[in-house]
Amino acid sequence: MLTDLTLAQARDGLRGRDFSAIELTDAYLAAIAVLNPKLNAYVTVTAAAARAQAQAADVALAAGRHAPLTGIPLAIKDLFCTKGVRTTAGSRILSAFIPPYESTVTANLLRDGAIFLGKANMDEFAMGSSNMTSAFGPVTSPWTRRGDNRRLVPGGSSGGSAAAVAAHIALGATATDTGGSIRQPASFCGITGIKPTYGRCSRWGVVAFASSLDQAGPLARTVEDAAILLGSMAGFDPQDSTSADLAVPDFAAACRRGVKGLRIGVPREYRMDGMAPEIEALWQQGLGWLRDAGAEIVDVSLPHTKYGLATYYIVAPAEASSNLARYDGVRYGARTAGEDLAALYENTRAEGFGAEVQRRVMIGTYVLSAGYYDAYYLKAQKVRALMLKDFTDVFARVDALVTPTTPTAAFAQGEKMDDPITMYLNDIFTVPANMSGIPGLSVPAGLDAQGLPLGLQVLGRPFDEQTVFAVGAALERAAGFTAMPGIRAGG
Amino acid sequence: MAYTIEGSTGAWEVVVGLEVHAQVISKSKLFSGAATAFGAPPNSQVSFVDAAFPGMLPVPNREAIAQAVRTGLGLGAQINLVSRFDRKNYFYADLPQGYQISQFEHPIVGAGTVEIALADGSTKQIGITRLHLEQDAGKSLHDQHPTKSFIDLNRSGVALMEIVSEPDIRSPEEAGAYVKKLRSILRYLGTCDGNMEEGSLRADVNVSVRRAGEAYRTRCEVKNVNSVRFVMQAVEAEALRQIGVWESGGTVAQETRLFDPNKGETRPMRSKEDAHDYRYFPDPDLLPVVLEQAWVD
Amino acid sequence: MSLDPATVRRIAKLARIRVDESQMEALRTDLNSILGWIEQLDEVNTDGVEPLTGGTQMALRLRADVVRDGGMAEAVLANAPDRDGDYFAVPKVVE
Repeated sequence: MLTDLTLAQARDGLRGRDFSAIELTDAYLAAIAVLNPKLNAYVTVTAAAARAQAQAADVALAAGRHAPLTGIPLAIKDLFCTKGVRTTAGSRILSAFIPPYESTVTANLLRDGAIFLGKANMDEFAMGSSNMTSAFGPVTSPWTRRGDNRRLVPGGSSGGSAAAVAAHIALGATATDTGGSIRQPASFCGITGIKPTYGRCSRWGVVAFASSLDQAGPLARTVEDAAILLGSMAGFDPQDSTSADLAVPDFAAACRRGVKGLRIGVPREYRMDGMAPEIEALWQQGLGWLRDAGAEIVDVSLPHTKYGLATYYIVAPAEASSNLARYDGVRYGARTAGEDLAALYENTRAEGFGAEVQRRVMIGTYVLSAGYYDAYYLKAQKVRALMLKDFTDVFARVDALVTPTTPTAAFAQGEKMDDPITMYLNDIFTVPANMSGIPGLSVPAGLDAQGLPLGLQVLGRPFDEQTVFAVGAALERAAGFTAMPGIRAGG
Repeated sequence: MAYTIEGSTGAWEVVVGLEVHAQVISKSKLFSGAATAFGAPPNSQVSFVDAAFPGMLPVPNREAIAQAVRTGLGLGAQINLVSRFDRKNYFYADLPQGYQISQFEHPIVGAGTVEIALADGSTKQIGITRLHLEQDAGKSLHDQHPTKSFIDLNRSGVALMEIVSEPDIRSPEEAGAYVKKLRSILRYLGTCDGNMEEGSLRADVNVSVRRAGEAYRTRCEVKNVNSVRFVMQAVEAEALRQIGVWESGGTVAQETRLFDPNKGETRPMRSKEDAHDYRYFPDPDLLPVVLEQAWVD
Repeated sequence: MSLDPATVRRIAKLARIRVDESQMEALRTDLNSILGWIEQLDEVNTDGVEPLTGGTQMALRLRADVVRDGGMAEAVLANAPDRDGDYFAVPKVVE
């Protein structure tokens, strides 16, 4: 089936004219029509536009014009502003917003010939780890536990993107990661995802959550596919003052490097009390694979690891409380009437923002408020500096780190909803990379006792995604992960 | 002879500090490439950054930074080679982002002086505390419709220099002389056209009163005064009002007020009733401004 | 640090989000548990540490002073929930 091909395979097939771009896109659109009602992975499907793009791709291919992604159909997380196409950020407050501009990352993908199948569902304003907070309904994971038909979460906030890729209703997807929102869903859905170094991808046109943490990245079926996508997504953007003015290396080539002679660090603080034995076992197995492939395994320490979550849950809400102040019903978005300006704002935001967003905006407002700034925000930014120093010191001795991605496999919809903190603990292994800006990749490494995917995380030096891809690809080769979810195109 | 106002219980000194907002002469805005020219049709000089659309980001204008440095040099002030932009968070209809990008802890220019000449032939040094760059807000029109206010964002994001004086001013005359002198310096340097009628130069007037030899008493701020004459009238009107409060046994409350030139008095600003907690923090969309000494020279 | 209802109301006001009295207690409980949890940062000695802002520490790039944006009132106003001609409209504000 066309939808079984990886991105790299599909690209070769299109270039070799084994099949046409319109055939490939139609296969995906048909799969979406069948499976999206069950998964709710897409908020908006852009079938007519996708077919038009595919037809244009076929013209280009026939003329021998191959861009890196010509004819490749992707899902776009609904956090990326797509010109003329509704962009909701998973929120009621933007449910009818039609951006008059294209985000830089998606413009790069269009430049490289990609086809957009539609906008992927997500936790509202990227705040969440389960895709249960979307105003457009939760996303259902295409995976289920053995012998149990309860709906599981795909992870979040990029739950729609991950579910679409895992269920073969997208060949790849864009996503964003602020505290783990690419890596955690990748781990839950048995696919690959990378959060590149902060500054590698432009944030222009990406609805902002936490400006110093947000970073765009791909979700894909293989490490090589993710590398190909990142190669197109990344690049310096003068419209983003935090964008790094660095050339984009050949990430796909790096996947073939191997790990001979690399030093791989194992941070002891990632071994948490109460961690499931399966995760520990998978971690050890992963390290064994790398040792067999010629890497040296080194014990290291990142002393401030355990403070990552608390730091994140101060900094991210603080920045979000300011970034979300613009949603006031005046220039765009949903508006709820009020008898005066203050009431307009208060009603609009109370009706337009869901409970989790409201909670985080309030936390953020509080930690920045008079008398508390030093104790919370300033303190958190200092602890963040210490976390970065932990990584900088360790990267003087090793080339990459390998850890589990998540403390558990996917949980059921409705679980972990009792109090916010249980949900926040999902991010415990992923948050440090956001706090320090370093790149992090998750690759599927095995299944737990109930048949659900578990991922391993690779962390690397700033702007050294190439080593991260090399290690990730080595793990992928050794793991031989071929398990497929029960719900998928052609399944 | 120092200026005093005779109250019913004796003489009062007037203490004034001025925060002057000067629009920077530049072709484009502080953080966006939209035009800054005065008098354009509504919302025709607005980029998506100025209108705070989702995902928009600020990129600073080199000329605006240069103009601030030129002004600092012209005031004999210290140029801070490293400065930072902070967000000042509050909600208002003419503030699309819900915050203003300003400079709080680390302004681009530090302490300086302005020398003013008075009618009796004497001169006086008025201290400048600091100068920082910030975004201007849009314009609200409250008199076009019975139940609605209209918002024009052309001015939103234009670069402003906020020039803060020490509370060294002691009379309406000194206040007027200071504004005139500052305006002439800015015009001479070519960093601001000083056109108060068009709003490219506006003053917030901080006024308090005290008996001779006392410590400072509570001050009030009279916002957005847009002529030299009104600055002088506002100083006198507000000083008289405060003296009246003190002498009747009351306490002056710290307030933000507006000057009404028709009545010749100040009144409280209704929208500023809530105490503002601006929750300043460094703007995470921007990095520190680092200037080379060679470039400054 | 435990929030009392008055503080929760003040924060909601600062954040311009209306919170009904019926929701107030649940919100206060959630906020308190989150704040109690993040207070573990008090354990960390941060004397002499410079705060980090932004993932990579570079200096700010400056842009040339050229007009290359704006001039698109219709696009800027197209998504407005309430507009009057070329203005955004809001409930009348009395200064």
